[in-house]
Amino acid sequence: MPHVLTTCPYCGCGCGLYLQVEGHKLLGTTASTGHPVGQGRLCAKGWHAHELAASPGRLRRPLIRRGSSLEEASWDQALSLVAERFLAAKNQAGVGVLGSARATNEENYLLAKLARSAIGTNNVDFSARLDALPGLFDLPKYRHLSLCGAGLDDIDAADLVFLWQSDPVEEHPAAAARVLDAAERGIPVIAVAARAGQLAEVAEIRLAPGPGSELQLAAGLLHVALAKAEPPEGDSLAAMVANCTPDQTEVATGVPASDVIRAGEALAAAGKPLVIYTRVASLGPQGADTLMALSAFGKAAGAEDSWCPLLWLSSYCNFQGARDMGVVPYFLAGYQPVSEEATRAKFAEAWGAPLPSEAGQPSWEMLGRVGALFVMGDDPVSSLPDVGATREALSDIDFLVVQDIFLTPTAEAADVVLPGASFAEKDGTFTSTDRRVQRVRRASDPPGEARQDWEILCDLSRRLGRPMEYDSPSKVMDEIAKLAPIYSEISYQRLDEEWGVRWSLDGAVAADRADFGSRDDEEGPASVSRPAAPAVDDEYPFVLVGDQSLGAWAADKFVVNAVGIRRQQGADRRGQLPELWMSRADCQERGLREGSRVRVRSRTGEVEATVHVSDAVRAGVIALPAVMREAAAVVLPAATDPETGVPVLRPVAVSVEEA
Amino acid sequence: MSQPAAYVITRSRLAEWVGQLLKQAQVIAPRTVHGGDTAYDVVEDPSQVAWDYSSSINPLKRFLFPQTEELLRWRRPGSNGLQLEPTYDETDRIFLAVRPCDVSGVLFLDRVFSREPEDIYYMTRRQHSALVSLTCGEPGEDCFCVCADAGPFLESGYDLQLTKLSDDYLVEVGTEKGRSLIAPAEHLFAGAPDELIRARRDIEKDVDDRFEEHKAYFAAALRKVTFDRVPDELWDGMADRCLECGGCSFVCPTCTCFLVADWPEGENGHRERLWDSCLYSCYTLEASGHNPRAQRRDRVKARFFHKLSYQFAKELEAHGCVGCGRCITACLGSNDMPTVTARIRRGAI
Repeated sequence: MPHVLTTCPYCGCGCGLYLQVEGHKLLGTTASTGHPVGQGRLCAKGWHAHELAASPGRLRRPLIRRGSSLEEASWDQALSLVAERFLAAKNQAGVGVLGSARATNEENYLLAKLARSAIGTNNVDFSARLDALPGLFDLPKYRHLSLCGAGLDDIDAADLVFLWQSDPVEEHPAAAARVLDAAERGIPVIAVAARAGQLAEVAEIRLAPGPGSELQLAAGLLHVALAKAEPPEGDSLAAMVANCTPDQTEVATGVPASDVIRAGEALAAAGKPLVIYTRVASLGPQGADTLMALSAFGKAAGAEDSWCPLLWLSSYCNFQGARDMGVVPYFLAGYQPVSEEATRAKFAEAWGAPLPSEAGQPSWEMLGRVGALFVMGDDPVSSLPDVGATREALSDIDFLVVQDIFLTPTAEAADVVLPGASFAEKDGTFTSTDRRVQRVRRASDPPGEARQDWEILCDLSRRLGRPMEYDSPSKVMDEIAKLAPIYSEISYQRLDEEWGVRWSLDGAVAADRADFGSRDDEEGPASVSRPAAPAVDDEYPFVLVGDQSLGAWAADKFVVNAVGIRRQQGADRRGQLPELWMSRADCQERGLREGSRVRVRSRTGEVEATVHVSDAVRAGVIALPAVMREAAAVVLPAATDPETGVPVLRPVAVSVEEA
Repeated sequence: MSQPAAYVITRSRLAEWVGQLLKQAQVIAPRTVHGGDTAYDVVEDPSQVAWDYSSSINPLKRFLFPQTEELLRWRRPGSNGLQLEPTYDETDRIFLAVRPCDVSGVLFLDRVFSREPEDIYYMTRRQHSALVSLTCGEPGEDCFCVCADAGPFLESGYDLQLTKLSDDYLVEVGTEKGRSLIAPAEHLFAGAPDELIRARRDIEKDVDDRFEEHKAYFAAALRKVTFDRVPDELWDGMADRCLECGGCSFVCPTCTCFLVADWPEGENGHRERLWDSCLYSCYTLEASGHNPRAQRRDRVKARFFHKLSYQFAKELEAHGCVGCGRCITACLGSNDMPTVTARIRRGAI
């Protein structure tokens, strides 16, 4: 049929769209009116999704490195080489495998199966998992936070919406549309961000905490709301935030006490509050604790469910699915721990191979340690915070294989490049940010000699001595449904009959609901009143925020290769230098204008940028797109979160001078 | 003997007629594509035509002015010279059971693309197409074609116009091209008696009454936009509600903006045009780096100026809206035509 229903390959909202096809040529995209996510609406990314697949920038033939260049080769040459080197590395330096937040569930499942059964390693991860604190949900301490996983429909049901360090307009317009609808209905929206986004214009209250003081603001709001709720004597949550008075909160965050009171009272009055957040919140300092505090908003509001729903918006179409499929060092498909013997036995029987019991390494640790790395549709150079260290680690790897549709920065460093199929050329499923499993349907053919990713994996597994035989991705899903209880209801037939199926959290995650107030360590209340803001002085007077949402798509191969999205995003407008967002007051004081060339210097490095004069940031705060990592990384040193051991981006003190 | 101006065909014979049309050309008709969505789409079998549909998710322009369209290929045969090979689409197409608003949309595109210099790509496709309209008996939820003078019945512009009358369809012949669609299957049709033509008029009157509730009051907006009497704060408010998706341009039957891209493949290559949207920040970006519509407010204003102002309407004989209502569904914010005209009339968001 010329109109093929499929799922958008961009963000995690999971809008349904039709690809219009003539012969095997993709002509365009149409929104599905009946689809429950988009309801006939798409953002610019969706409207131009077909351009991504039809891009002339696609990889068409396998490539093998000869000296400094990548040269075309046959599939047999490429896969023979990969198998030979991986079999050798398996017994020596070790092997790692990275899956993809943009590949299908079936492909991710097969990749994890290949890694565990054919190579025998749990070094299975995807670097974009770091993109979000939900990556932390995989750590036992925070697993309960996934129980707060709200859905897009919760926006329609909420009576108070917090946009927590997130403006869905920038990366998740489908969610933003629902927030706009809510605002039109008179539902109060509270926008919290160091850099105000477009939805702040329709927000009832705008709060701009100093970068690094978001946890303190959350605690301040809890303080005000709990005072209204009159919690029982000895309530641990109230005790936790006892010192976070509006005045204290103003000192810690720079948000006027009167605004803290207004927002706190709005929270107290709400019956169904909802918090929307993205990677900007979760990768920030004290990100994990901040989320813990936000999850307590429900209790402060006296809501029916004392847990405030947290709506995490993923920047990738299948971030959720890659985790569901066990592309995580500690889990097999369906969050079943590799450490459990019974689980391993179940999978070993189905896969016909013994499985390793030792947990693998996460991507950021794996890179520097393995001798051979297989990367499918992942781009650690663009996803991991420390771009320099990532490039160095990749160049240290003896043998790097990248399977992708574009020559990503990671693929440029590869020894072998395998061309795969885009979303428009394959059958499979994506799982949205709110766990809706949906069909991806084949509408055209991969370009040149590019192949179906699942077929490449089966071919490789056979060459590694563990044949995997499937007729189609549908059969792969049948196997997933048998092994992963959370997917037991899923089949292509059911997905074809409905608009996808949301899998339920009930019983899916083995975790107790730990309370923010019940943190067992002494540090709890102390960290709540201690902002992670950098100290500014005369030499470094500005606080610089590395903003992941800002121009997030400008450096992405998925955008660069779609003309329409590039135009909408303004990527054609910008030069090579990153844009530095600076307040009008700061610009006037320093004689800077729109487009002024400046040098931004931190204690660790300096970078050139062009000034964008903006009312979205307050005086003393400046923002730089974190995605232009090559530029931003030198002034934004990567740090490791002491609580979680995960790399994070922290605000830093910088100076700004005219270049 | 003169040929009748109208025919009648019973519903049970429609499939046979469509079968005949399928032998003549590619047939594009409303078709259920998934879960109740109806789209104008290529049909391979008469049973696929969704005769009782309300409206289609896509306008017809996708088939006459595709979202991505190859314009030409180039080759370099030797050391010098360049061979250009234009790619025209000369496929014969019959657009069947098309709602009058969408026919009106095509007529609008005809006027845009036939201006000098004529758009040869569009006109080639258009010359190879026939329009069979299907009048509306029930207004859809978002319809306001009566306000745009684009339906629910057409006076002219169609090749054939069908109207459902209980068990029969009245078939009005608009052009000789329309008559040629009947000729090969003439045995399926009968000349329409006068009482059926009268019945059709009664239906039109009745339907017009039922469209009463479905109105976008254009007049005040036309005047205020034409004379720039819309306060800036109003455009600001609408800019806050525009997420720059471009959806309004893409679902609009009358939007025609495109950009051109060259795709070299070694010495050879091809040129494409792709739909563009006036809401995109690079739409008016000049080579110097200057952007006359750098602010979203200016882009929203320009869009509605183009849609509603008298200057454009005078040139194109109509306002840039056929009342199909698709922008109501597509807009991620609330800047659809009825809402915007109401805001302008009220002078408030």
